[in-house]
Amino acid sequence: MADLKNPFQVLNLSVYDTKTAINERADELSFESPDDEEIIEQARNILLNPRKRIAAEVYAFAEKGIFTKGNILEDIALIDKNFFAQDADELREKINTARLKSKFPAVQDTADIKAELTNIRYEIREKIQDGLKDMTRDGRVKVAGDLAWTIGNGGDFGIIVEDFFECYRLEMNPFFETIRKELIALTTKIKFNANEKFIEDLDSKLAEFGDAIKPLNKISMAIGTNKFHETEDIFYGVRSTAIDLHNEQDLIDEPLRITRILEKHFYYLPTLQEKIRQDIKDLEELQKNHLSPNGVKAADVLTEILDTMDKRLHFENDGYEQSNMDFYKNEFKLRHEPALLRAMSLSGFKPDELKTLNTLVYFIYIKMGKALTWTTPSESAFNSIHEMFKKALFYAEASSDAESISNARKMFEDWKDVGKNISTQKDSTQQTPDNSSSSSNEGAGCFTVIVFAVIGTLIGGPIGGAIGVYIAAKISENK
Amino acid sequence: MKYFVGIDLGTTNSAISTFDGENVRVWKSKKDQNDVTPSAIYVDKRGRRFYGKEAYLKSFQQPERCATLFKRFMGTSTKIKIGDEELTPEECSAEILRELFKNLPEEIRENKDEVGTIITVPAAFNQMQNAATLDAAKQAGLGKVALMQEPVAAIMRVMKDNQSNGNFLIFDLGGGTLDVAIAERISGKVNFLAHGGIAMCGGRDFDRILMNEFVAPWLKEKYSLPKDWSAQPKYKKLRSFSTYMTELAKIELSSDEHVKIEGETGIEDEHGEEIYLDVTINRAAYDRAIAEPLIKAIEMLRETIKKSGLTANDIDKIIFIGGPTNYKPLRDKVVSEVGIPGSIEVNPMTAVSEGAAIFAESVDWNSQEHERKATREQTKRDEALGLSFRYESRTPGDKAKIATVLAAQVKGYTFEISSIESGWISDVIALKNNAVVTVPLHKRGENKFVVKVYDNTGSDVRFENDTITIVKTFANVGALLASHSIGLEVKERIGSNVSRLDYLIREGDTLPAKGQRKFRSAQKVRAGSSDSINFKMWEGEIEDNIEDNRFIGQMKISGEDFDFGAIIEGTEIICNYTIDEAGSVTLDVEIPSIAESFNSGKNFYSRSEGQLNLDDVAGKLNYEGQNLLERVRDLGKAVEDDNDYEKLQQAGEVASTALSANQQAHDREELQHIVDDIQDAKKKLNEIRRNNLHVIREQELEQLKDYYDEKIKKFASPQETAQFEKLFAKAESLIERPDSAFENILQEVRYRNYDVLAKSDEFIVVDFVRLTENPYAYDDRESFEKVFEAGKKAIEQEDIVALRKVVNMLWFLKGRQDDDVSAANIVRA
Repeated sequence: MADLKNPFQVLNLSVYDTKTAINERADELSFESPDDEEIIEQARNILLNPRKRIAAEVYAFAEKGIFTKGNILEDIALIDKNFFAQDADELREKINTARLKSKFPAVQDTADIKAELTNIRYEIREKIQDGLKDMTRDGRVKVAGDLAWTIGNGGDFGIIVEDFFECYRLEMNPFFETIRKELIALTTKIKFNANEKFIEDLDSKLAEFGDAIKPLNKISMAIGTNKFHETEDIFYGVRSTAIDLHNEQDLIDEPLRITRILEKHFYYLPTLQEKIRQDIKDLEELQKNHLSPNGVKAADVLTEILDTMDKRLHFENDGYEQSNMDFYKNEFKLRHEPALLRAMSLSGFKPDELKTLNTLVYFIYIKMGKALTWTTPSESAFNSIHEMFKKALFYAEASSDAESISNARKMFEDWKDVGKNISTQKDSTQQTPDNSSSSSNEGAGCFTVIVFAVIGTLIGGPIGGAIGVYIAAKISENK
Repeated sequence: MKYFVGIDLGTTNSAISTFDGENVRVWKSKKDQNDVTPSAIYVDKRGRRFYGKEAYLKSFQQPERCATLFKRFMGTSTKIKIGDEELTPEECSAEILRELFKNLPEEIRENKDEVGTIITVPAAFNQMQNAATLDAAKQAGLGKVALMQEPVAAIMRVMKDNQSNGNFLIFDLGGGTLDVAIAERISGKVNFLAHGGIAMCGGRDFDRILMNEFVAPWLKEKYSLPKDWSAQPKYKKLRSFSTYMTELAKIELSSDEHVKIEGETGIEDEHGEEIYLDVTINRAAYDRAIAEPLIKAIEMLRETIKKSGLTANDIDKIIFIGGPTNYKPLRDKVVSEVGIPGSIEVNPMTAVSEGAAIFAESVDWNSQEHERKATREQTKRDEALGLSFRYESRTPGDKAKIATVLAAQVKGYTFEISSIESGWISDVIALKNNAVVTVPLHKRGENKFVVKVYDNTGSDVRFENDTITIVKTFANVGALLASHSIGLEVKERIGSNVSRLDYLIREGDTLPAKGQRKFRSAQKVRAGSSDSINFKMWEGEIEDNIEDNRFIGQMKISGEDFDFGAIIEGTEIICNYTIDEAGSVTLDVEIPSIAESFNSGKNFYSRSEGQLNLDDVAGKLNYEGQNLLERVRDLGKAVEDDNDYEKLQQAGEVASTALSANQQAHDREELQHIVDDIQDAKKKLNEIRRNNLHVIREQELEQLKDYYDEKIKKFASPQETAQFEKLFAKAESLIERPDSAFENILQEVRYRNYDVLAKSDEFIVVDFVRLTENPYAYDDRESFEKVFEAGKKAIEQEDIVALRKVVNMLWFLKGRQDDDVSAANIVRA
C-alpha cells in the first residue's frame, strides 16, 4: 500500500463491489485512461486477490484518526492513541461483513490484518521523518520538547510516539555530531586557557545541546531504559576538563564554574545527579581551604620559562634552515608553550597580570614568526610562519590589548596567502610581504634580547616590566 | 518475433513445445520419438556424449559416467562428476537445453533472433536456483530467454482448453519438485491468487522410499552385504540398477495391483554370490510407504489455499500434472484430503512446456526486461488528420473495442471499420474524438481490421496507419506473483542490536514491482575508510528472526567508494528498487549529503555468498542441528497446543537428523533434503513462537525476575533496585506489543544485571575464569594470551583493579570478533 494509492480510490469502487464490478471498472478505466493503465492494473490485481485486498480493506475500516491530513507532527499523541486502539479482530469482523456483500471469501485469521497495521505504522513513521526533515532545528526541538513534556507528565504512549523520537534522533544526529566536535575544540581551549570567555561559550553550547537532547533523554526515562549515551559522552568530556584543570593546573574556581554549568543542564538525569553533587561538594570544600597563591610561585614558573628559553631558543641560521624550522616548530611547542600557559592559568594571577602574560606570549610568537621569515621560502616554512602568527593573534585577543590585536591581525592577514606564491620565489629568500621584518641572521640573538627587554617596557603593569627586564637579563647573561 | 518456445527443464524428464499463436506443438525427442527427454547425460570412455533416454539407460550400468538429477543441485556449488569430468549443475542443464533445442525443426533453430523461449522453474526455487537456470540458458546459447514458474505455465495450458470461469488449483508433482498454484478465471482473464511448492518432493523421492523400505532390506536379508553397502563404490552399480528397476516398478503400479522388481544385477555379494533382484510390491505397501511425503505435499496444498485467501469450497477443481500423478490412488488421496474434485484434462508430462510456449507468445521479446505485451495500444497519429486509434490489442474475448483519438475536431467526416479476414463491416460513424466501435474477433491469433475515413463529400480520405491488429488470446494473464518475500535487513533503532526485515516485496505480491525506501545510516563512514554501509538482503517470511531466512546477497557502500565527506549516523539514504518478473532485484542508492549514487548492478543476488557445497556440508548441518535442538527445547517449555506440539516434534526430528548428518553415510540428495528440512523447521519454530508469544514472553520475564531476586537484588543499590522495578513493569506492559520493544527491555535488564554483579570483586574473578575457559573462542589468540597472563598476574597479586581492566579487555576482544563487520547498519527512516 505504501507505493500505491488506495486501489478502491483508483477504481472509484467501494469495499462492497463484486469481482465483476471490479473487472468491468478496471477495463473501462484503462481503456479510457491509457496513461494510468499501470496503476489501474495494479489496483485490479490487488482487489481481485482475496488476500492482497485485505490491505485496502484495512485502510477502509481502520480508525480514521491515524490518517491525518494536516501536519502529522501536531497530532503525534493523538495518532499514537488511535493507533493503539486498533483491534485486529474488530477490523476482521468489519471486513468480513463487507465481504458478504462483495462475495469475497471471509478472512480466516488476523495475521494479515496485523501485518497491514504494521505497514501503516511504517507509513506514519515515514511521514513523521519527512515532516521533521522539513522543519528548522528549533522547530524540531520545540515539537519534541512539547511531546516529551506531555509524556513526562504521566501521559501513556505507544509505538508511534517511540517512532517519533527515533525519527527525531535520526534527524538531529548531524547536529549532535557537530556540537560534539565544537565542544571538544572548546574544552581543549579551556584546558590551555580557562578564561571567562571560553567558559561562557561552553555554557551556551551546552545549553544548545541540552535543549536538543532533553526530549530524547525524557523518553528514555519514560520507557525506563535510562539510556543517555549522547549526553553522557558530552558530560564526561566536559567533566574531565574540569578535573584536569584542577589536577594539572591547581585551579578551583574554573572547575567549579564548569561543574555548575553541567549541573544547570544535566542535573535532571538520574545517572549523573550523584556525580554532579559530589563534584560540587568536593570543589567547594577545596575552595574554602585554598591558599592564595603568591608571587613567588609565579616567579618560579617564569624562571622555568626563561631557563628553557635561554637553553633552547636560538635564532641563528646555521645553514640548515629546515632543522632550524623544525626547532621552532617542535621545541617551542614542547617546551615553552606549556610552561607559559601553566603560568598564565594559575588561579593566583590577577586579571591584569594575565593580560600581561598573554601579551608576552603574543610577542614571542610574533617575533618567532618574523624570525622564520628569514628561512628559505618553502611550503613548510610558510606553514610554520602562518602557525606562529595565528597563535600570536590568539594570545593577542586573549590579552584584549588593542594594539597587539591589530598588529597580530595584520601579520596574520598579510601572511595568509603568501604560501601559494612563496614556492615560486625560492631565490628571494628573505622576502616578507612588506619587507618590514627583514633582518640578517647574525642579528637574531641580539634582536631577541632587545625584544624581551622591550616587552617589559611596553607591557608595564605590576609585573610586566620586571618580567621584561628579567627575561632580557637572563638571555643577555647567557650570551 | 516468429517462434515461441516453451521448455520444461525437469528433474528427471524435460520437454520442449512451440506455439504459433493458434496451435501448440510438442516436439518429440529425435532419437526415440518420445514427448519427453530424460534429463540425463552420459559420457563414454572416448568422451562421446549421449543425452536423453540413451544416457538414462546407461545410468544404472555405468553410473559413474552419467549425470542425472542435477536440477536438484542448481544454485549450489556442488560439482557433478561424469567420468573424468567435473561439471556444475548449470553446465549439465545447459547441455540438456541444447539437446532439447535440437528437437525443434531447422527453421526455428537457425533463426534464433526470431525465437523467444520460456524456461520453467519450480515455484519453490529460490533466487539462487533461478539465477543458476538463467546461467544455464545463457551457456546453452538459446537467444532470448525468460523464466516462468512451472504451475503458471501449467495454468496457461489448462486455460487453452478450458474457457469456463472459476478457481483452479494446479497440483504439479514432477520428478523432483512439487508445485501448487491457484488461479481464477473471470471472462477470459486469469489472475494468479497464490502459489507454493516443495523443492525436494517428487517421483524421485518416492523411488528412494521404495528403495529404502523394500529393496534395500530385501537385499540385506538375502545377500551378504556390508552395513553401508550403498555408500561403497563397489556396490554403486547395484544401487543404481536397483533404483532404476524400482522406478520402473513404481510406474507399473499405476496400472497393476502387484509388481515385481526383478533382474540380474551382475554384481556379487561379499561371499561371491551373484545378486538377483526379486522383490514384490503391492499398491497397499506402496501407499503406506509414500504416505509421509504425500502428507507433506497435501500440507503445502492447504497452505497455498490459505495464502490465496480462499477455502477449499471456493475452488472448482484440482488439475493434476506430472508423472507421479498418473497413479490414481495418489490423486484420490489428494482429492479426499482437501475435498476438491480432481481432473486429468491435460497431458501431465507435457502440459508445462506447452503452457510455457503459450506464455512465450505474450512476452514482448524486444523489451529489455522481457515484459508482457501491452493489452491496449494506440496507432501512430496521422499528421494530416490528427487521427489515431486506441484499441484493445490483446483480449481473450470475442469482441474488442477500438476508439478514435482526434487531435482537433473535424466537421462532416465519417469512418467505418472492416475486418480484413471475415468481411465484417461496421456502420458509418461520425468522426469525433473517443468514438468507440466494438469489433468481433472471428479467430484465435491475429485479427486484422482496416479503417476507412470519408470527408463531408463522401470521398475517401487517405491516411497513414489505417490497419489495426488485434490478437485473440486463450487467456489474458494477470500479473505474476512473487514466490518469496524479499527484504532488507534494518536495525530497529540506532545502537540497537535488534534487526528486522523491511520487505521490498511480499510473497504473492504482483511482479514486476518498483518503489522507494528511505533509510538512515546507523554507522559513520568516512570517505576513504574501509568502513561500509551494508545492505543485506534475505528471502523468506520470518520477520523477527532474520537469520532463519535465506541470505541472498549484499551490497556495500564503502568509504573507499566516495572521495569527500562522511556518512554520519542518521544520514539519509534513498533506495530505489526494481524487481522484475523473474524476481531479480536492482537497487539504486542515493546519499544526498555526499551527493553520490550507487547501483547494485543488474541483479542484487550474490550467488557466491550463501551457496552450499553438498560435498562439504555435514559439519554445517551438525551445527545447525544443535542450534535447532536447543530452540526446540526452549520452546517446549511454553507450548501447550497439540498442533504446535506436533510441529515442535517434527522440528526436533529434523534437528536430530541434522545432528547425525554425515558426508559418508548420506548422499547429496539426502543432504539437500536435510538442508531444506532445516529451513522448513526454522519456519515452523518461528510460527510456534508467534503462536505462543504471550506465554513465551511471560516465561522469559518470570525467569529473569527470579534470577534478579535471587542473584542480583542483594547487590543492587536502592537507586538500581528502583530502576529494575521500573524496567520489569515496562516489560510487563509490552508483552502484547507486536514489535521487539519487549525484547529490548529484557536485554536492558540483562546488561544491568551484569553491571550490578560486576561491582563485586568475587564476580570479576568468576567472570575472568569463565571468559578464559575456552581460548578457542578468541580469534585473536595472541592478544588473548597476553591479556590472560596479565589476568593471572593480577590474581596472584590480588590486584582487583588490574583484574577489572583485564576482564574489560577480554570482553572487548570477544565483542570485537562478534561484531560482524558486514552486519546491516541501516535503519528505516
